[in-house]
Amino acid sequence: MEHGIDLRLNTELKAILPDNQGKCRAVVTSSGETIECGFVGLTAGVRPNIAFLKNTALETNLGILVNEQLETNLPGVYAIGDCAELRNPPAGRKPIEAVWYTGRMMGETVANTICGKPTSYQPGIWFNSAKFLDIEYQVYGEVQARAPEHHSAVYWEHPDGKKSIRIVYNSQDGHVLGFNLMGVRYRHEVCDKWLRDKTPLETVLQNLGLANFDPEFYPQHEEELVAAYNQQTGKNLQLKQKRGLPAVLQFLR
Amino acid sequence: MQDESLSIATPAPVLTTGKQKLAVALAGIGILLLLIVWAAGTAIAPVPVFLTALGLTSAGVWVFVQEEYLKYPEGIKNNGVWFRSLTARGIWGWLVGVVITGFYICLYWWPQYLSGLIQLFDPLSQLLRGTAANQWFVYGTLYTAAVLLMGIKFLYKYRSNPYQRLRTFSVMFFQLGFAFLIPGLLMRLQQPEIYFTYFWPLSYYQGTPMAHQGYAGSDLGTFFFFFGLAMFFIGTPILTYFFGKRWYCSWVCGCGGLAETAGDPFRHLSDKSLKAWKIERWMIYTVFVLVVAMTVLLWINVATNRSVLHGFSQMFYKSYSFLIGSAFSGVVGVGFYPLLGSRVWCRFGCPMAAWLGIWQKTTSKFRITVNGGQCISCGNCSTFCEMGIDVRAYAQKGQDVVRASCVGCGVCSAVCPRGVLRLEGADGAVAQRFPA
Ligand SMILES: Cc1cc2nc3c(=O)[nH]c(=O)nc-3n(C[C@H](O)[C@H](O)[C@H](O)COP(=O)(O)OP(=O)(O)OC[C@H]3O[C@@H](n4cnc5c(N)ncnc54)[C@H](O)[C@@H]3O)c2cc1C
Ligand code: SF4
Ligand code: SF4
Repeated sequence: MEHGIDLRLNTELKAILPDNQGKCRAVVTSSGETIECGFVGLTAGVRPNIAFLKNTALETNLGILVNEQLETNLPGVYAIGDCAELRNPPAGRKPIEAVWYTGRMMGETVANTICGKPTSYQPGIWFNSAKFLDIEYQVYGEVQARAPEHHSAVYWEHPDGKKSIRIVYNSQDGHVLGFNLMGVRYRHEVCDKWLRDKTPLETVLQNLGLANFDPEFYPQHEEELVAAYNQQTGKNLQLKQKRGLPAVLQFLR
Repeated sequence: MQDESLSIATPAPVLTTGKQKLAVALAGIGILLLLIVWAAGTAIAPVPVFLTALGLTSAGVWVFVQEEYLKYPEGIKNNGVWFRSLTARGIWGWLVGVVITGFYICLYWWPQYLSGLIQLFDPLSQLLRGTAANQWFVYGTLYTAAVLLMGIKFLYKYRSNPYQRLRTFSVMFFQLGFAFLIPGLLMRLQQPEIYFTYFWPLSYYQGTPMAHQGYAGSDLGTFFFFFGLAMFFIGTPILTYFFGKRWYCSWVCGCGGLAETAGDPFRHLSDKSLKAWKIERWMIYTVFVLVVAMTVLLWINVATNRSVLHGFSQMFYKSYSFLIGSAFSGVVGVGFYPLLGSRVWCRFGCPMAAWLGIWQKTTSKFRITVNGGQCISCGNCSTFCEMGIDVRAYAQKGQDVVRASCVGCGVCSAVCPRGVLRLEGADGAVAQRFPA
């Protein structure tokens, strides 16, 4: 409510009730609550708006079908961004990924290709970011809403409820799988390297300072995350690496 | 007029609430009192009028700030800066620009027209300095009040950001202490009026033989003369190596202090074009060369018992202080805030900034790093960079920002919606971060 938004969690829209002029009057949720309103906005997901391309020579499915070089079935015609659907997505990736960063990377890929340097689309390790009102959000790697059995997580949340860190790891062999951050900034290159190298969670936790990208003088929460891990596991891990660019450069070299 | 936009959000939002209008009226009456005294040329009942003007202006700022920022959750709001007349080069922007410019013109060249204000500020001057007010005391007091009041506004606007909070406390502290109270108290103690945070060549007089002579007989003055030179030759390169030019420009300097506080509402007006950058480089280093040449000539003239270039060096000094010292740094530098943004002088003119910039660009550890591929090209960073640096161009490429002009205000990093930018220090640059 802080921002004037009243959220209902764990429920769905069941019906929209009309008034006698056929305009919306109220909505009913699946928990049976009726909410009076004068306006309804439906924003459940996105899908490529390609109706106008049906019945053309372009091969489409949900989106416009493209190969590794983002070329459609018509030579020299490319599709990128929200409307593109990869015929053979890279391992672990979806055929349609309607986010800004994939759109940009696709743009770079096609730009290379049409400038004479044929390039395949290689999005690398998944990442995304957003800002929910005043809270920044970042994700690196795999953080799934319905976590598979072998995914475990260390989680820390600030008492004010505006910051949180979740590090997902493989509970079988202990390597990190993903980072989910609210109100905290982590360094992309560092997380990317940890994920690529399948780094053990404990190594990551001990060196967590490397990832800290918050501005100077911001409180640092690495110790608290390590403490959360120790509490969860009964271990006595110590943070070894505080934040700072020189150590990061050393690490990335 | 029919709204042509298809946007759901109103494109021209109603920005100023009723309470804020009241606040503007309060502050406006306070400022109007000063304008009346200025125009009347004489102050009746200076103490009550002074206190009323100060009180009304402060109250106005306070109420405005409450409405503007405290009504909302913390998080930096620059809502509507391109819609408000004052901050979008509208009629109010021009009006304020003209009034400030007029004040500076009187201050430097026709102080007799400020006699009303000087009388008004006399009681305070007696209290602090034990001596009568002059136009410079009026100026210093108004300047300090602006830094403090608008500093409070800044603190509320950026209250979610510890870097901005500390930096603003710092400029407020240096302005109030080192540029107002200490010089005043020194005068009371029959010492020279020393501003410990202004060195040559920003304060071009400080390096001249006149300053040296002026301080003769005062240990403190002589100390300050050499302290200033040491800051130039030794302090600046060392501090800039570790911290970048921000140790001075956005944490200590009074010009920077005013730009960061009173100038904050205008920071987006700085020109981001490549052309402006080219002009900037020509101008700032030209001023630097001029001030060095001028000072050297003055010393040669003294060393040769006024036999070499006497007339020329005097004329040089007079022209410099007229054109650069007064017209550029004061009239244009501050008067044009609402038109060209808050750092015109710092960016295009200040020889101290030129000197700091050379060290920042060539040797300093200071850089703004970019967080991998996280930039979404929104342009907030460039928009709110008061130095007109196109930060986005660097961010899109994942390239460290290493620029002579960056004052390290940290606002680009603060307003970035994706947390892409970080001010930090290390040797080694992009090439080392991404080995080929
Ligand atoms: C509310 C919202 C929040 C989001 N937040 C995030 C986020 O936080 N992080 C993130 O990574 N991504 C986010 N996204 C996703 C991201 O915005 C999109 O993935 C990205 O903008 C897609 O870019 P694009 O160029 O592929 O498509 P678009 O930006 O949709 O561009 C398609 C263009 O084609 C035009 N067009 C359509 N049909 C026709 C036609 N027949 N003729 C001519 N022109 C046509 C459209 O007008 C539009 O300009 C968000 C999306 C939404 C809707
Ligand atoms: S680049 Fe950023 S830190 Fe430097 S002057 Fe511009 S806004 Fe301030
Ligand atoms: S503000 Fe941040 S996201 Fe926006 S252009 Fe600048 S660096 Fe990129």
